[in-house]
Amino acid sequence: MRQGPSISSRGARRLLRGAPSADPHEQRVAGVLSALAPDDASGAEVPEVVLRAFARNAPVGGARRSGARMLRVSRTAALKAAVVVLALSSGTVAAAAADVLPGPAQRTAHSLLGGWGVPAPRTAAPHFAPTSPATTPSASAGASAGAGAGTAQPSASNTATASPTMTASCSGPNTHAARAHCAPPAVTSSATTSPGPGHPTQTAGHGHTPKPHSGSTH
Amino acid sequence: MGAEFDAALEAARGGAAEGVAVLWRALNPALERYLAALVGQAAQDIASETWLQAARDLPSFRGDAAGFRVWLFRIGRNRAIDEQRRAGRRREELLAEPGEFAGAAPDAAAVAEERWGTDRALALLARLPREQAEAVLLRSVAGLDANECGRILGKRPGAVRVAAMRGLRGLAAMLEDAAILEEEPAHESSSADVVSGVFR
Repeated sequence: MRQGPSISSRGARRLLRGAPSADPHEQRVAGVLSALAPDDASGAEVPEVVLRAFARNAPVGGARRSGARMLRVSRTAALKAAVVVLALSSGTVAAAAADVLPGPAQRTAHSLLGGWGVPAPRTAAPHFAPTSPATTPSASAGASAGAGAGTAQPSASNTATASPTMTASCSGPNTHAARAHCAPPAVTSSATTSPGPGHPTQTAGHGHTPKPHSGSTH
Repeated sequence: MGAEFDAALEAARGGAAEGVAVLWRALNPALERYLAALVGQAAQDIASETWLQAARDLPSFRGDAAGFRVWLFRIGRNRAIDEQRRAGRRREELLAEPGEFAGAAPDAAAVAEERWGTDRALALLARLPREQAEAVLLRSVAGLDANECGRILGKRPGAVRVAAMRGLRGLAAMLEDAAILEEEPAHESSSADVVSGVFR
C-alpha cells in the first residue's frame, strides 16, 4: 500500500463524528464508515435467553432487601465472632489463674491481671537448686535431729531438709528468689545423705547409722 | 447515554425486561458490528455470549450507562479474543480475497456516492493493522470517545487518537489506490496483477 492522500486531524475528527466534508478523499472514507454504521434495532426483539439471564441474576426482592439481608448476615457473623473471642479470652484467663500457661504467657497474664489473683509463673527449680554448702549444714542439722529420733533414713532426712528458715522463705511472697530457694527434695536429700568421710553429723548418732556408713564408723 | 439509559440500566439490574430491551437495542447493533470485524461470522454468537456474561456479572458492576457501554464492549472484546484463540483462527482468514474488493473498485466519485456493502467495508477495514481498525470502529461505529476506547483497548487516549488517525489515512490510501487503478487504461492482465499486489 502506497502512502495515499493525507487526512488532516480536523478531517479525521469530521469523519469520526460523521460530519459531511467537501474533500473527495474524506468523502470516500466517509462512504466506508457509513457502510459500517450499525443497523437500526429499534424494533428488534431481544432474545429470550438474554431476558431470562437478566431476570435470573437480579437480586431477590430488589436492592434494598438485599442490603438488609447483607446487614443481617453481617450481624450474625459479628455475633459469632464475639462468642468465639469471649470463649477464648475466658479460657485464657482461667488457665492463667490456674497457673498452667507457659512461662512468658503466664508472666504477661500476671502483669496484666496480677491484681485479680493471677499468679506469677513458676520457674523450673532444678537449674537453680542450691548446692552451696551454705544450705547444706542447716539441712544436715535437721537430718541429725531426725536421726536422734531414730529416723536416720534417707527418706527421713529428705523430709527434714526444710529448715524453719527455708520454710519461712518459701512461704513468703511469690518472688523468683524465694521459689529458687525451695529446692526439690531429691537434690537436697542426695546432698544430705551422701556418705562422706569426716561427716560429723552422721557419726553422732546412737548406733543406728545406716549400713553404708558402718564401715566408716567402726 | 443519558438519564434514559441510566434508568434502563437500573431497571435491568432488577431484571426488568423493559430496561434490558432499551440497553440491548441501543448497544447490540454496534457491538455486533464491532465483533464482526474481530471474529467475522461468529459475531452474533459472541454478542449473545457477551450479553449473557453481562447479565451474570451485572450485580458486581458499579457505574452508569456510559460505563456500562464501555464494560459491555470490553467483555465482547475479551470473548472475541478467547474465540480467536480457541478456534485458532488467524486474522488473515477474515480478509476478503485480494481481487474481490479491488476488482469491483469504482472510481472516486462513485465511491463517494455509493452505499457500500457492510461486508466490503469490513473487508477493507480488516486490511488495516488491528489496533487501527479497532480504534476506527470503536470511535466511528460505537461512538465512543478516546478515553472510553482506551479503557476497552487498554491504551492511553492519545494512543487511541493516533491509531484512529492512522487508520483513517490508511483507508483513504486504499481507496485512492483503487480509484487510480480504475482510471488507468484497460489492460486487463497487467491491471489485475497490480490490483493483486496492492491488496495482498
